[in-house]
Amino acid sequence: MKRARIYHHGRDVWAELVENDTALRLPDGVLVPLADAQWLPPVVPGAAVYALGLNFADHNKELGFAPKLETPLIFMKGGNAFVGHEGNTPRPEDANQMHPECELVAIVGKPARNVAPEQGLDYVSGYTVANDYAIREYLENFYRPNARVKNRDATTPIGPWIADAALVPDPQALSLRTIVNGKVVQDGTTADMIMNVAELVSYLSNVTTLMPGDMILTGTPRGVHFCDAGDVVVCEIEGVGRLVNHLVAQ
Amino acid sequence: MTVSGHIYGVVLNDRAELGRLAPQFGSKPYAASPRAPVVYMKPRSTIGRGIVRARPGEKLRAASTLALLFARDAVRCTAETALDCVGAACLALDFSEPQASYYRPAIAQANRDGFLTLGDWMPPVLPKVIETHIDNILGHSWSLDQLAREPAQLIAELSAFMTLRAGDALLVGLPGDAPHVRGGQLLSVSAPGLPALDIRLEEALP
Repeated sequence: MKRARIYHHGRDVWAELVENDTALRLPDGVLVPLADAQWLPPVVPGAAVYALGLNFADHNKELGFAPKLETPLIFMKGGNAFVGHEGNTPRPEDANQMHPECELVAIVGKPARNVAPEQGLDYVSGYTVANDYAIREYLENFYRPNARVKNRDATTPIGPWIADAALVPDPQALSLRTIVNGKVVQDGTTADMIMNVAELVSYLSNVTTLMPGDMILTGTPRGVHFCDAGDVVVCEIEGVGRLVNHLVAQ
Repeated sequence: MTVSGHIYGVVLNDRAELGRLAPQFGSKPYAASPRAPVVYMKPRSTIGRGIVRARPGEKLRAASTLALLFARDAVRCTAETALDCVGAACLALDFSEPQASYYRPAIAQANRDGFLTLGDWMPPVLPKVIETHIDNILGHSWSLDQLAREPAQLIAELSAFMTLRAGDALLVGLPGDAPHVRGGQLLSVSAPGLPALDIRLEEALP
């Protein structure tokens, strides 16, 4: 099953994709054609959202970092940062080094505490796609990547929906691509993650209790491409979804 | 309404600590002094109920601070209007494993279950002095006058790029000389005008 959160007739509702992903069925049975959907981030309000930096060796090399860090680089994001499928992301006028980052997102399905890596995937209920934009001009070396880079309003498109884990038998065998105005700028595979989804669930569950609805953005492969206002940026992950975002001048 | 959104905090907002660390800021890994507020988040799973567990022999940093709860979204506020968005305040005690470096986010050190205790919410006040008693002896005291960015200014600078939404909480800064505590100790945080916060530190089984 795929589930999306949309705005419909004055409220937000979770709807199920039906009829070969051409329509959304609301809880009351009403069908909304996909083209008419007003997409919201498929994120439970208040969820703890973790994100990985430098989790793909080829991306680390491109940025001049060691292929594998001694400890994973993890930061958190707030709900203010998210924007749904087909949403707008503001590009500040001075952000000449703003680049998209296509990432597989794992959604936690049940409380996870001290989970072994072998059991990590048992705690994942679904997956979605995020574009964790970075603005390199705003990077500072304090709690890097700092909030002014990674927790800006509407600067993390996510969605369009959550694909159940049953639809993604191997989360480490998925192609990830970012396409800007029709040109492929990132073309990687989740097979290249340094810490895989199961290991990340395990690692975090040994730090804190992960709760249902919490999310892990698992990092991005190589391909730093600076974007402009007006660009249409598509992040797609095989078998999970295709997320469209519009960069607008701020 | 209580905390229904996210808990944000800032480090390096203590003028005394900034002064002490200033000689390091020019070198690696920092290369420059911090410009924007240095933000961290605590997941709601860190909110404890008066008991904090330390590992055997472990010292934890217990940083007292003030938590502000947003009643309205703070978006691109000025310092003059920022506090209009705040609906409540309480004392908070923020625990973490002591860290030497501010280079990378301290998720593994600060996000353990129970590592944040919040007091009872009251109408917003900005107390001058926050005291922490450890086993009934005054162990730490600091003044919010030490904040490099006082709360209104802090909210204004954060809200320039990230909305602090109704239901979010903000910890306004941590004292750079926060005491280190261990299992078995009793902590009490107090400040004029706000209900005190009592915490028992237990030593977890190995």
